[in-house]
Amino acid sequence: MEDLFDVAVFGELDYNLVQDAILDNLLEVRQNAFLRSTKYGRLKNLNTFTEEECISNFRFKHEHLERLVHALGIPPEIRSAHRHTMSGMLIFSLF
Amino acid sequence: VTSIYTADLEGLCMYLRRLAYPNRLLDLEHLFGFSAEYISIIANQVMNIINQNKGHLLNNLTNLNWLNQDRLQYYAQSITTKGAPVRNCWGFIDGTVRAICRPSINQEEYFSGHKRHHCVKYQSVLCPDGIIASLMGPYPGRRYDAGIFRESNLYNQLEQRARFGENEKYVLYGDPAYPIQELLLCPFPGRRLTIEQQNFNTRMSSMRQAVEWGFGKIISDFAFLDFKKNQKLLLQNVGIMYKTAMLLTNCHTCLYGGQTAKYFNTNPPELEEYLNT
Repeated sequence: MEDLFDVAVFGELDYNLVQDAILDNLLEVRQNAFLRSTKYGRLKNLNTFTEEECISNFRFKHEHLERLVHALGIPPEIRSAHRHTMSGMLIFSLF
Repeated sequence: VTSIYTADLEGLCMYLRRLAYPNRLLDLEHLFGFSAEYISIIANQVMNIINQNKGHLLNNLTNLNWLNQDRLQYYAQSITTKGAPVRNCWGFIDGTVRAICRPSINQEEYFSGHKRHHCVKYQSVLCPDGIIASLMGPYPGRRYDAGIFRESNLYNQLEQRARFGENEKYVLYGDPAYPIQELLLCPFPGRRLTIEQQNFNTRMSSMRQAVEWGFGKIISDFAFLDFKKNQKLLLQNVGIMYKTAMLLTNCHTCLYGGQTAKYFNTNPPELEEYLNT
């Protein structure tokens, strides 16, 4: 698309052609776009888990999970330590 | 540059889910809606936070405020009621072996000739309500129980926690591998036993099986720890993972009880009481 604009700037392209190109670009489905929900699945709200699902996945009931968070002193926000750089492979090997 | 964060509940769920059953990080992407790298970092972070905040509860008996004289008496009473010949036994001690991948460094240290695989060892003290009061380790797999007991300094902790004056003391019961001491009893050794001695051994041994249920619970709830192929000593902190899983198992026992508590008809402490919060 950028190349097309460059050519248009030099006046070597018809105005209608540029308009068509812009419209075509807007309507075209973006094949390579990164969509988190497509790649990783949608983030499931923990409240939507049934009790059985909660126990089979996390071993605790939902209300007890919240109690556990407070009792274990887990801070409201968990950050990765010190903004350090980490390659994907290293992270995989860590756990 | 990696800088990521998540909410507390979600982070804990990621760690619990990771421990719950052998799973690939890739399989969890669809459950949480995050990449495998993200889930791995957060799960590790939660593990370190739990260890930092509450790890001391398993390291030293004196850190357990709820383990007072009344509680020890309650435990001894419940074991006696079940038919134990010892009137002042409050818990059971045993060593457990967890298999690991063959480490590329010092592999001889981690090979257990008895179990015939590479492993790390832990020493646990189990109360009759299913709570693991003490967890020492990990120790290299070739070590034996008595050596670990000596190194763990548990006897000094017992002196501080389980002795109240000259006449009142509470003892642990272990298998014949442990050295018999004033606060640690073992079965009568040898083959030529009197009927009374044999009877004592039989009755105590049926009580002692409870400690195996305690080890069974952590493995059945958090089966990831039993998945040898992903227990890599030099890549992961296998010891902290086992310790935090043990803390979570104790929390589970506080909330829902367990086989041991049912057998001895005891009630575990409240969750907040156990965690000193």
